[in-house]
Amino acid sequence: MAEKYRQMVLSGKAIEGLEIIDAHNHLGPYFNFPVYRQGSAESMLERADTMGVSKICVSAHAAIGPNMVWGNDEAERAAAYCPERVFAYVGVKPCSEREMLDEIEKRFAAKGFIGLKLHPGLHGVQVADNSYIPAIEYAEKHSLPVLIHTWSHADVSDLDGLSTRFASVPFIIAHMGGAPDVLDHALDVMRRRENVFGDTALSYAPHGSIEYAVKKAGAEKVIFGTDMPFYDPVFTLARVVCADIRESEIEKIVGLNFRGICPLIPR
Amino acid sequence: MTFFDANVCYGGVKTPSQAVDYSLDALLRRMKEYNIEKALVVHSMAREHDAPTGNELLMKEIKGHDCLLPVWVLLPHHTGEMEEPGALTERMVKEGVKAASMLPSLAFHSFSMRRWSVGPLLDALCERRIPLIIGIEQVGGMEGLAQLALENPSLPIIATNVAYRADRFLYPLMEQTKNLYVETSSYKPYFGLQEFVKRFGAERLVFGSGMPAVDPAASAAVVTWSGLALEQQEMIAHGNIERLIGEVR
Repeated sequence: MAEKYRQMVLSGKAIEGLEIIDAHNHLGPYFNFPVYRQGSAESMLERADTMGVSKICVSAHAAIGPNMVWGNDEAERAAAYCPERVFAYVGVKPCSEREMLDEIEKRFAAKGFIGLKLHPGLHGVQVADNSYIPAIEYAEKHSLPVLIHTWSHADVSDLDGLSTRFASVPFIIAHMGGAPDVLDHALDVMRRRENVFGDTALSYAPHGSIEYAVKKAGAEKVIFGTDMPFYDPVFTLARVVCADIRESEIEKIVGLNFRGICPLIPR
Repeated sequence: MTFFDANVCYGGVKTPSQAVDYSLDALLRRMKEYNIEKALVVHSMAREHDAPTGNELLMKEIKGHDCLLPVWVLLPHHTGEMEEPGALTERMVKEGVKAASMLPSLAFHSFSMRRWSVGPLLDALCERRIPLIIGIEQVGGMEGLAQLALENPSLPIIATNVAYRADRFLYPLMEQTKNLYVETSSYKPYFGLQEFVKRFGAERLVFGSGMPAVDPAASAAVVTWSGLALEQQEMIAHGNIERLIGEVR
């Protein structure tokens, strides 16, 4: 364990000496509960500074919810607000192939987008729904990471299948399967599939789970993400930097792994 | 920052996680690592097996560990499993018990938290100023917590497992009560502590780690990286719970 990071957490100081990229964030208000400060990019950077996070990658709540274009507009504005630190996923909603590709192409013609975000749960479809295929083919063609929300065995099985079909696309299993009984399944897919990674975003903080993920899937397959501003990000970073793993493994999780699969993040 | 932890358990559980060490030794080690100088502690046997047996084991096993203060899991007296409320709370105070816990949900100890069932017990706790630590999942969520807090306005209640989605329930409840405190290990809305403190002050938040199930690093960070003034952090980290248990008589 890197004792120095624990001391930084306990003293309330931002983490120093690590490049920390938060690969899983959202943006804006949400229907189900209050998101203070409107979940703005400005407020998220304030939170990032408190912890020592240098870059955040966002997808708008609206884009993974009812309005893909509205949400992606918000994400584009967030990335433009601080281009060195805020990056965006194109939120993809099931729709016609033409509509989907037009939206994706329009966003990547602008600056600040770095990957695709799919939330099948909120869109009422399966992870492997056919309507997503044009988006994943686009990711394949342009070497983009695809972050997919998961919360069930079926989600993880679907993602396992997609990762075989699209072997060059880096897939991130958001929440590493989410529900506690899905974790082992997600870790197994992360271990078996070279192009599958899992992120650390969870609303709770299970003791020892980072160590467990590293042991089962390898540190090179775990990616730091917090789900900010869905909930507070600080406890997830603390869980990672205070984990009982090697410092080199912490470095991979908080930044190096995501850099390895996301070429559009600038140095 | 040093902490006084209001939410700790130890001992084996029915469905253990492979990643967690549930032993007393592990708890003591973790407390040291995270500057947790004192903790209110429950024995898992009192939750998952038999409350009186677990409470008794707790008293035996934590003897000599001054950093651990006992919390008893209580049952209503009607079935004779625990003594009459007045005698029970008298014994609790005599034996140095600093807080009570109840698990009334059907999946746990299965009883009603309404006054027709536990009224005398809650009144006895209130009389002795013994705080009740209770998970909102045990009372059927925020509606159940509201009922409990509003029906028993003088009983100090520390609510655990209040999650990040709760504020639309929690804020009006905090406004209408003076006896409700929120334990922080599950309470993680975005900028949540700052917004809470702005409205209700720092007096009504109480640090808990949630060990062993919850990572203490995460629980500590909720306070130390809250963005609150140091004085407010210290109230949450230890001051508020020290004040509350200091009132036990």
